[in-house]
Amino acid sequence: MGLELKFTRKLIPAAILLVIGAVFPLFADEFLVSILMQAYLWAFLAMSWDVIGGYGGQFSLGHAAFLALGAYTSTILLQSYNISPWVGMWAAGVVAGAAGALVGIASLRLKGPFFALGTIAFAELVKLLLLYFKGITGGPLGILITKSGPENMLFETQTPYYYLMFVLMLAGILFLKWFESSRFGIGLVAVREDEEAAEGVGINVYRAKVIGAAISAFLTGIGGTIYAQWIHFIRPDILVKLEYSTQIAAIDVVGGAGSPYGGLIGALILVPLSLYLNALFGGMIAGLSLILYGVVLLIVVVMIPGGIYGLLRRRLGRKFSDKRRG
Amino acid sequence: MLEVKDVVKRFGGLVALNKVSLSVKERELLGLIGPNGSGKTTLFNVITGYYKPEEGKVYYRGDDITGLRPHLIVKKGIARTFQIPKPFGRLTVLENVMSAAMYGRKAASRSEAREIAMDWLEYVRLKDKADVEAKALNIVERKLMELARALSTGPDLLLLDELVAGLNPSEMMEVVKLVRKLVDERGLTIIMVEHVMKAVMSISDRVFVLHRGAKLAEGSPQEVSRDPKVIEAYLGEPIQV
Repeated sequence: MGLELKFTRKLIPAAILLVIGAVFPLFADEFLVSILMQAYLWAFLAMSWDVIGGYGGQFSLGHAAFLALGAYTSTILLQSYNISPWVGMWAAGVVAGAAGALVGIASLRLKGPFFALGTIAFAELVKLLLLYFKGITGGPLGILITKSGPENMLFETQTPYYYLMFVLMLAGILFLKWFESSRFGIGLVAVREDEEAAEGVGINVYRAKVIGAAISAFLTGIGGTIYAQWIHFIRPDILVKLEYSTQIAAIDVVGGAGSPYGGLIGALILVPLSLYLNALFGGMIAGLSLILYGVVLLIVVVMIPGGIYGLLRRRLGRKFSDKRRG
Repeated sequence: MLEVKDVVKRFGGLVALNKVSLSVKERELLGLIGPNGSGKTTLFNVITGYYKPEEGKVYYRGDDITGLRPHLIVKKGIARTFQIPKPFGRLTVLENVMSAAMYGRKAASRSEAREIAMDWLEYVRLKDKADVEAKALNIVERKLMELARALSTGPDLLLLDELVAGLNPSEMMEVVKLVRKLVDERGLTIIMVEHVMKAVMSISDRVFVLHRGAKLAEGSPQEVSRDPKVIEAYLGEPIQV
């Protein structure tokens, strides 16, 4: 019965959602496809953040920097060296990952809110460096992607991007599902829960934090490549924004940090909401979405720790156990 | 097996350990007792690398392990439990204990770690709680989980910090028997810090008494419990009539 129950409870809903996601562009108009696509991308970024922010418990507010480093790396490789982003995205991950390791080293000394402040400062630094090295980055003018063709991860319509980001989001979920029961994943959560006890079972706490931050930044960097390929144009001030860093963290915390599904749940709620509000008020009230994230984040942290996924799991868990008792 | 030599540990002006020397032989169960604040936990923290002593050395099987970081000490084969249990709250009990097997001395694979963890959970009779989140455990279960977790690192020397404090008398005697069996049947060497005299005296091979950061007495449980200095340290000076 146990296995059967697992099948009906987990696999069938997952399969239904998968099919809906896969056939969605066939029935919806391009506008809706574009919104859902962006939700997938932000879901992936939130899942990337989750590695160090959720599982690692290090609240980063600088992930826009890794996004930008990834975007710049693959775009420079594409525009200046004619290297396809299908290859360049891995280099993007490596560059962002290296920067993530530096942030991880900082986390050894900076705890809690001080770490968050440190990551904000780090992102500002990255922005300044991108502006400064004009020769490579184009400085404040940025870089326009002028190539074309699927071999360069560039498409004429939104639909291919939709599938690209759909696959990216699924890969993110599968990665986190594997990660959370892996040796390293369990070790990282142990460090989050109690550093002294983690050392006491043989975990190298420093190493876990640095590698955790590097993995998180690596994934975010790959997301940066995909993002750049979609918007075709990158500039320091549109990529390295505190708003983006906050959005990444807020999506994950609202959806449920430290779980494979939190990022997707959060993104499906917050991304359409912020797009809608920005379209409505964007011109009038600058930074509205930042305020929105602040408020939502506060409510979730105070009222529903564990996010929406945590809430659902508790509610459903209770319902199911009640049923079993009769 | 373990040799602590003239260890001094100060916290500001307070001398927590003042030239403490202690040695433990293979397969021995040493009881470490002393009034509150006498330096027992500090000594544990020095041995397991959480504190670096200002003076003195700690040798384990001939190697100088003074000031080695805690996770490296675990890999040498020394494990400990904490006075106030430190579960990884949002991991399951099984994952808690598995983490120790995966990161401990043997660096077991996931499947090996699972087996090791289940064996020790069975040993401490916590197997039916394996899939429960650790934060849901009560205090007794937390202590048993800590014991299983420490054992899963694969230690030869185990340091138990007030394992039975807070347990009721029957639970206490159960756990005490488990500890004794670890020495007799599994060949471990154990140092146990304990406040409950009955627990220490009934199972220790030898007892070491700390008082105000220095050694007060050492010997068999019988010798120590008759020692006037020990009685005085615990009960105060005898009343002169």
